[in-house]
Amino acid sequence: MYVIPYVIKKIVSSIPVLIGVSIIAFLLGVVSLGDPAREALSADGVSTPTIEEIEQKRIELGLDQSLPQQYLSWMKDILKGDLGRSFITNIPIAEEFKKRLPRTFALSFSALFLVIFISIPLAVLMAVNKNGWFDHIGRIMSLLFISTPGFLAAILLMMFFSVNLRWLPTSGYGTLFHLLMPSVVLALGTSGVIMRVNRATMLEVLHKNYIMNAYAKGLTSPLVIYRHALRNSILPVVTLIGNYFGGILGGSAIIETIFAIPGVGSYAVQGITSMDYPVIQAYVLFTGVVYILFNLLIDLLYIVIDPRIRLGGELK
Amino acid sequence: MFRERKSILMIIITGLILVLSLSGCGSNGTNDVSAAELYEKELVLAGPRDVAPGPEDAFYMSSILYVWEPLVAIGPGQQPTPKLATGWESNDEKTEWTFDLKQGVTFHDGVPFNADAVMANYERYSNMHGKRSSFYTFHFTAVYPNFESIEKTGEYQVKMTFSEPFALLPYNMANFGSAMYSPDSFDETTDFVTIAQGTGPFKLVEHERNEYVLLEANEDYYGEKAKIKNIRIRIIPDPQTRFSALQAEEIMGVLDLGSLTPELTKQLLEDDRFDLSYDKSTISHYVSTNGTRFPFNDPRMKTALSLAIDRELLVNEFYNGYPEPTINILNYASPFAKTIQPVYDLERAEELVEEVIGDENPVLEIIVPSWALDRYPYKEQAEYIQSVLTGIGLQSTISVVDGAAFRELQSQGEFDISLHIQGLPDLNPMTIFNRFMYSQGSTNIAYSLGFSNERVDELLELLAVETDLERIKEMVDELQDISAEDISTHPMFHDVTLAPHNKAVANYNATVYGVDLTGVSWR
Amino acid sequence: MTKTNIAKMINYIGIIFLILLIFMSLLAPWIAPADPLKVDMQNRLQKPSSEHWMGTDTMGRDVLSRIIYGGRTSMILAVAASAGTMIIGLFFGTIGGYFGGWLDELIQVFVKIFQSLPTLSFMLAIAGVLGPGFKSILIATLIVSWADFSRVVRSEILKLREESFVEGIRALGASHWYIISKHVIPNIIGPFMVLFTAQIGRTIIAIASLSYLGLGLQPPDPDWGVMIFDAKTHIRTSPYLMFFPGLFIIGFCFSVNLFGDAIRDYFDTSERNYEQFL
Repeated sequence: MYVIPYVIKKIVSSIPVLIGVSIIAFLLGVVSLGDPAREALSADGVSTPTIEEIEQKRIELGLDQSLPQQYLSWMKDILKGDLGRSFITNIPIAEEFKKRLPRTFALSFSALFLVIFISIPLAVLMAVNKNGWFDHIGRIMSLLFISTPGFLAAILLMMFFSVNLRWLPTSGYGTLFHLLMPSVVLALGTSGVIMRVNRATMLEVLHKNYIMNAYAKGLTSPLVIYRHALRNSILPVVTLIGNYFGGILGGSAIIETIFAIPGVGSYAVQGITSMDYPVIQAYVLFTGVVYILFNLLIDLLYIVIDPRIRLGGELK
Repeated sequence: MFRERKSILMIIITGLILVLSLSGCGSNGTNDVSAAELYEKELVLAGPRDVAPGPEDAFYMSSILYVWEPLVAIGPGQQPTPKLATGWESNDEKTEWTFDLKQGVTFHDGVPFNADAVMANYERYSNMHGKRSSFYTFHFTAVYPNFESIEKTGEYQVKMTFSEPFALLPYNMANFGSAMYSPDSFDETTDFVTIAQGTGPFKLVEHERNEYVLLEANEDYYGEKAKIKNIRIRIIPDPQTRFSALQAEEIMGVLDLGSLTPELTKQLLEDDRFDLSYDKSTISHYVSTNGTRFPFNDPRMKTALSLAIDRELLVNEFYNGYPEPTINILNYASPFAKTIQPVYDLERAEELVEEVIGDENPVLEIIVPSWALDRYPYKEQAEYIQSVLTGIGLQSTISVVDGAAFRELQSQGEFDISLHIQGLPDLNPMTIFNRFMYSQGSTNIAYSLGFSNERVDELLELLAVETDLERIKEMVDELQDISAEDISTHPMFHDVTLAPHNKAVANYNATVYGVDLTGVSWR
Repeated sequence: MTKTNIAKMINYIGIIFLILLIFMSLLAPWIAPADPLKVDMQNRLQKPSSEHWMGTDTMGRDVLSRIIYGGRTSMILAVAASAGTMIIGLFFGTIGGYFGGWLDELIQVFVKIFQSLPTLSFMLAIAGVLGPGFKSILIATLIVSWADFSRVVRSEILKLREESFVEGIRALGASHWYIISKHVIPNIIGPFMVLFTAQIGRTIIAIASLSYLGLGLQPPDPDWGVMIFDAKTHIRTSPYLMFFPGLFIIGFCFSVNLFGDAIRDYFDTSERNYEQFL
């Protein structure tokens, strides 16, 4: 019954965050070295614009205005639902996002799915078998996951599954088969971290007094693990997943480029390297909003998972 | 519960194996397929960037798709040759040009090609002042300088009038300079309103931005028809992935600039299933020095650097020996280009450096644009140049920076040595000289070359109004000789178009820019 | 009992390896067999031999020497970035979580802003402003990762704050500093060390990933992550170029992890109590 005001409070507290994100989004575009007007004129790679052409372009793109003016007019358009047009291609950004978003979401969520449903069970098994062979192998595996760069994993997987076995397509977007390798690669690093963290928190909880009490009361092991240990150990893991979802979303840029999935990530990388301000700004704003929504969801999950935090703890 | 899940998993795996083995059988099926079947079989290729960016691009798609055709094309020997214009002539002053048009040609949407269509296209062009394009930024006044008017002088004839003589007009018009589209496919904003409709041997039938382009043979084409009905060109930005896709036989060939890096091409050819076709490209690689500050403001330093670089070694070690080492600024695909052999003389270079540098100890900054790393071994090239500099007693640092920062550093003159490429935008040799060697040239300024040569300025002014092609040729020769002597930028080598492909396709021939898709067929 | 002894043994091995790596980097000029920057175009891509134990790279440079020198950059950058992140994160996480109130709210706003920034775009932007290289990678890593840490710390502290023993001590009149240093920090050290050690691996990998976009550490200076990246073109023909630096990265990450586990075991009071209880 306290849930609704809690949610409202959470939403209200997101407003300053959104404003902050929008300012940083705007500044990120502006501070980088380079001239967007020149970039817009050099898209073909063969021509060099003259100083006069660049000057004219600056005015056309509204870059001659002061920064606060630029920010305000950008915000005004955003609030009207207009993300603007790319400086380089002149294609409306909203149109590109509409096309690209489903691809990035498909990729990120399948990676997240892999992270949750592979690393958490493994971590529990590792913790329960502490210092057993499973634990050792698991720890080495998680380290391998963390210290393998995405591009390397991608090349190796492609060599094996696409070139040698011909089981999976190297690249592209369309079916679940296309999504399999990229989401595994994307999930790798995060899975490694989550495995380690969840193992550690599980261990801690397993040694807490109330678990000992539960054992003492004669409760059998799997039940103890589920009812008490996992529930209590999962809290920092949930926080981490919230954290890393941003990372997954951001990390998708390279993965998208490697696997030829034209999602928002690769769009952003293009935007950044060509100083396409409107694209950079739209992207940062987008990840900001997604992040905030996702964390709102996680905040709600807290209430379900951890009874101690339940409302009182946060509101005090 | 657990058991149940396990069995579901088993079913999925079995299904997967079945599907895969079935699809495997399908492609290896019978060997003696009829010609008709081969024609129907879709060919999948890949390129690193979207070759059809769409309605906002000045050309909608690259010329390598063979969808649109120009009035004047690039022919053998890189000479302007008739395409949609069957011939042209001019008055002696070179101010009035008449073009005869091909008859009986229709655009893909059924609209006939005639003088009216040409007029509509020029109406569109004349409104394009620096129209965006991924291939060729269209400045009407640059392609058609001193243009006065175009008029219809017959159902299949148009006349262009210029206020000043313009002897090289057909050279400017070749390819991108005179692309023709159905008047129904664009509007007054100069943007396209439908998929661009050309007259070429292929039609663009499907386009998923940044994913693929689907071409279909134009069965009503007036010339030699395509040998494959559908060609799909996938966009795969990563060179490693294109390599894997070739190996996995998902794609049969690659095309466009940077189709495959030289090193990966070499590795691919070790596999017997693949073959390579290559041809001269309009791309040349340069090392530009900052002529606005010490030490490269001294021409002797430029000469020293040029003498110290072993271009032969560079080409052989990093480019499989295909490109041509050079010190001529004009690319070898130009109809006016001549061969100038580079000179490698380390001792002379050391002497010159000694003379200029004396006791000073400058640390030179080498800058490299990050986008180039995907296409060329530029990091290695920069490291090689660094080792060369060390050899002649100069210290240096390397910075790989993104394209925007690279251009910014170039224009601010905050670098000493920059690595870059330059493509020939058209067949007109003036373009490259005007940009790099004219004292007010846009590239000369934008790259901080600090180059100025009175004779060059004089020649360029004369060239602009010269009407005699022989005289033009002589002056361009002189300009090329000057470029090798008085260095504005250091040409390294003229590159090649690499078209590695699977042997299952025949006639996969590289052209100056792309692959001749019309001739390609299944073996 | 023997199981724990084996685990301890493994921990020691990790620490010894770590010390070896550190000495290797410190003594690089004396132990490296060749100049790591010496380009030799006549000896490109040589397979491992008695002359070049780990072969030569695409510029004919000795790979072993590059690994020995590269360890300096990789390890210093990874440790500095992770330690910096840890300190900043610990600081903000602790004050936010422990004191709560408006201070916490304010910190949380910043945490959320920084967390929602897409890592890669931010790193690219920093590289764009400061110019690519060691400094910008370090700063960018700090800016994008401190918030993650602080959030984990905070949520752990929130959990602790409600626990009976903390309330009990507070009721006994213990100072904040006493509670934080004696009870809060030891209690969160477990997950914290794990995150720290993971961060080290992630930093090394981040350098390699930035190289993918062409903006990692600058050539020709050697670095393990960059070496791996550069080797990718030659993975099929000269796999040793990838293998050796990879081995060192994993070895380093592994020993840092073992070291982290050792520290955690040392601090882990509950576990010690538990073992005594047995």
